[in-house]
Amino acid sequence: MVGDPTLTLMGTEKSFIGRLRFSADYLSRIEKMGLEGFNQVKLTEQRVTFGVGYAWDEKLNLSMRLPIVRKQLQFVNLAEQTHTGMGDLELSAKWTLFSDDQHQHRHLWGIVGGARIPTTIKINNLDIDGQSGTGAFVPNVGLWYGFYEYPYFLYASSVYHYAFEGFDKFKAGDAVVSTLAGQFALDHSFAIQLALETSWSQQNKMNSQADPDSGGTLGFLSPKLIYSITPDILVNLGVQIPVIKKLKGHHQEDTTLQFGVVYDF
Amino acid sequence: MIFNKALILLIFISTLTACGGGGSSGTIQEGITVTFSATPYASTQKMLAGNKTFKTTEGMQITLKKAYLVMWSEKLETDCSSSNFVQWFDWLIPQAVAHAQATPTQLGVPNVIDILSEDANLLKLGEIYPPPATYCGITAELMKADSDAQYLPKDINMLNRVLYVEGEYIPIGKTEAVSFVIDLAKTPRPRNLKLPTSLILSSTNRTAHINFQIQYDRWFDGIDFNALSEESQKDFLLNNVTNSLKYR
Repeated sequence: MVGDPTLTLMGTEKSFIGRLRFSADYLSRIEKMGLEGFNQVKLTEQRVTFGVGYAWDEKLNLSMRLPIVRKQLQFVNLAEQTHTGMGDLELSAKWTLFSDDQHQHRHLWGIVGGARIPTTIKINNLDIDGQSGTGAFVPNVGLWYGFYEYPYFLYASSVYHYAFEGFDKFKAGDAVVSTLAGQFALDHSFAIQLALETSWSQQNKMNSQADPDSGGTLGFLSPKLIYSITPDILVNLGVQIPVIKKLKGHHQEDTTLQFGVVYDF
Repeated sequence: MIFNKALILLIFISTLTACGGGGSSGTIQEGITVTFSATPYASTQKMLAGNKTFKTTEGMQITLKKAYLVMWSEKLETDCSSSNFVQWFDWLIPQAVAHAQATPTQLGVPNVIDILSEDANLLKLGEIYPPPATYCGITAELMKADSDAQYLPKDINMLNRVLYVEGEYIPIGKTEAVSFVIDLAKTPRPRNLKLPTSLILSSTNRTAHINFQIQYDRWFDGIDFNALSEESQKDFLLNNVTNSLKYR
């Protein structure tokens, strides 16, 4: 999956000390792996990810996200596997290393890091792609940059993910997930956002054997509408349209639908 | 203020953990499954496990004391119009040995068949999970066993062997048995078998069983035992072995 989840949870605006934010994001996507009519596996996934973010101080933001995942795998021999369960917990921290104090914090940049914690409960006899998480510890680290000048906001981040071995000796390939987003506020309650979200990853491995239908480069063009119902409640609706499809083997991602709500306590 | 937020955070974590952890569920619906098996089979009479004695079409009596054959792969075919499915009467085509590929339509698990097991005793070769389609034939390949092969015997090392036979024959007009050993690692031409009626696999017909009969009592028809060491006789024998695979 692509995108920078901290963008929603930690906000596109500069946070204030002690801000506690809650988010709930719905995502629906379809992924096809393998050759159609021969060995293709179709994954239909829906997930609701609950998150909390806390601004420890002006420089440090902490967040935690936990998905509830529903997956349906359809195999070429008409077999089906359906599963609903808790995914892996994601912890992340975003630290501002530089803030342009002379220009009212117009430029900010820093590092982002965290880890995916294997909280998924494994379901026996279920394919690894049908599990609600990989059951692996996945640390990540990266850089981010933000440019603030109302009504414009620009954001860029690039994060490297390294996955340890999870269920069934499955090891996701190393990945670099990057986001380049621009936002324009039409007024104080309505903004439009356009992002290019890319992911480059190595091939996944199962029992040290590379999965030929995994890895490569994927890029989504992601338009999003953001509306502030009240000063404390934001809703967003967007899609991720695959525009760069340089995946290895037979592997196909369809358009992803996203809907989210953010609430500041 | 900070206490309130910490409390909210705690409630959030507890709720999520409780909801997510307790709500795991899954269902599995089985798909199309085809099971392959093989069985030794004598065309004249059913024989029990152990030494097997029979006659060739020329009337020569053969007794098998050890006999192992490696079935390398079995594949369902949707196109049986190619020349491969014409019955071959010629000899062998050497092939490069590569590891058998397991695909939805091909069982890639090599199996060592003990021909001296009881006739009609089904030996399960494995299962494949093919897509819905109409399958008209099967291709079976005989190749050298590797370490992944199933049913590797303990009395003979079948690695890098296709066929191993120990036995004896009684030449026509004589009464004294002559021992022989056949030890082959050559790859014969694949066996292409057209199904008598097409196998239609669909959402309403999800399981099928395909059994190969190995008619071992036809292996030595036309063989010149005096020339068993010659390549032409080995090839003739392997051709007989390939043709002895029948679909039942």
